[in-house]
Amino acid sequence: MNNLSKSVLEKIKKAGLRPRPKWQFVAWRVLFWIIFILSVFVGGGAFGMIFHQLFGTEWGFMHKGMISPFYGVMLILPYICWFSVLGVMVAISFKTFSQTKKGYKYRPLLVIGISVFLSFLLGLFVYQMQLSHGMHEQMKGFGPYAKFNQKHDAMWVAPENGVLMGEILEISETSFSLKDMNGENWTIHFTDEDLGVEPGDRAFIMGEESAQSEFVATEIKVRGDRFERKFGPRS
Amino acid sequence: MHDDSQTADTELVALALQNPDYFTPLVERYEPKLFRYIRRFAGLSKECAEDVLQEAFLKIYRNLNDFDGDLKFSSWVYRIAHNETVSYLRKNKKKETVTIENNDPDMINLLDVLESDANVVNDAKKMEIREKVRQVLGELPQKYREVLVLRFLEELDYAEISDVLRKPMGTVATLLNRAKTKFKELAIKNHLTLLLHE
Repeated sequence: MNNLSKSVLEKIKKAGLRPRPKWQFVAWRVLFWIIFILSVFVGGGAFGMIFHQLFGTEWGFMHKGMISPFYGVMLILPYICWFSVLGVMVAISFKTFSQTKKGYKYRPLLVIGISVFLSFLLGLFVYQMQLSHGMHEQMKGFGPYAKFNQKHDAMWVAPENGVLMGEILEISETSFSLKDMNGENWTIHFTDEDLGVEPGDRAFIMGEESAQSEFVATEIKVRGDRFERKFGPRS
Repeated sequence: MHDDSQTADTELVALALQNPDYFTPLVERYEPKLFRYIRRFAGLSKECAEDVLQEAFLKIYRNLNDFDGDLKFSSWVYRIAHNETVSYLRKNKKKETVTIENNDPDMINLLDVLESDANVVNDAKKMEIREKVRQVLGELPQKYREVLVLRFLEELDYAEISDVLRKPMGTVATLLNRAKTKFKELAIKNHLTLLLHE
């Protein structure tokens, strides 16, 4: 026995060292896989929210110049936030995957690509199942997201530019009352008798302010893509 | 594919898990290789390299249950020794200097990088060339030095290097190519190529 092996053996015996139990290594590996899967899922949620913002925004209203360009930033901001969340999740998934037993054998770009792709598919599912809408509804009451959401929604209250957004309260034959995102009540007039909206729906309305708290709709869209209809101007 | 030594390693690991005395043959088998590797890669003094190696063996023992035969035992122990060395260098913020003994005959293997057809027979010149190679190696960044040492001095194949460094094979190949290019540049700068053709 040479000096080093003697010294190693002595240290092992003196300190009473024992090999770490196998379950500890297995637990670490399982933990890495759990973090990897979770990060892909959270990434999927972020994608879902990106789709929710993308398809829930009235880009057409913006193109028509009905909201201030300043508020354009408010439209882009959610994407930056959710893409940042997605970026962090992809980084976590890559790091944890590379810590798995054979994770290092795969090229980083491949791992990142697969993680993004899986999150993308999950995001589509989340959006299709309207889970992203549910997530938005859950989050809109909390912290910075609530503040941002209020500001974001308030930018759609611009009757002078022909845009209104709010919650439908009561519906009659040719009009309904609406509480806008700033809490003001409006009477919205429309021409279609079979409008199909319900109290509680959140509607984007394009048209013209006809009198104090009166608005004539030329286009109404219920958030969530349930409904979209154009109207002729009320005579 | 498992050769005889790998089978013997695996059996010794199983025995060492029951009784630490069986760990001794494993230490004796890998001590010279790992000691040489640590010195070649990190340029540590004999004493420092021994300390690092001892810690590496203790870590190998503590982690024996993590070895499951998916990769060669030799690659696994090289990985732990490598990580321990990197960790030592980081902790000690040591400026690495390659202090490989001038009589390390394998140093000449690195001349393969230069693809030179020079045939050196003179012992004094061999010594001088080894010293130059040592110097060039010492000037290389760590990421290039480690792959060159593993490939040309430890003679590990790409898959083994990938297992030791925990990097994909493609990355290892890219690193090796860049390391060779850098080595050639430094060889020219340090007049190693001239020395070969004198």
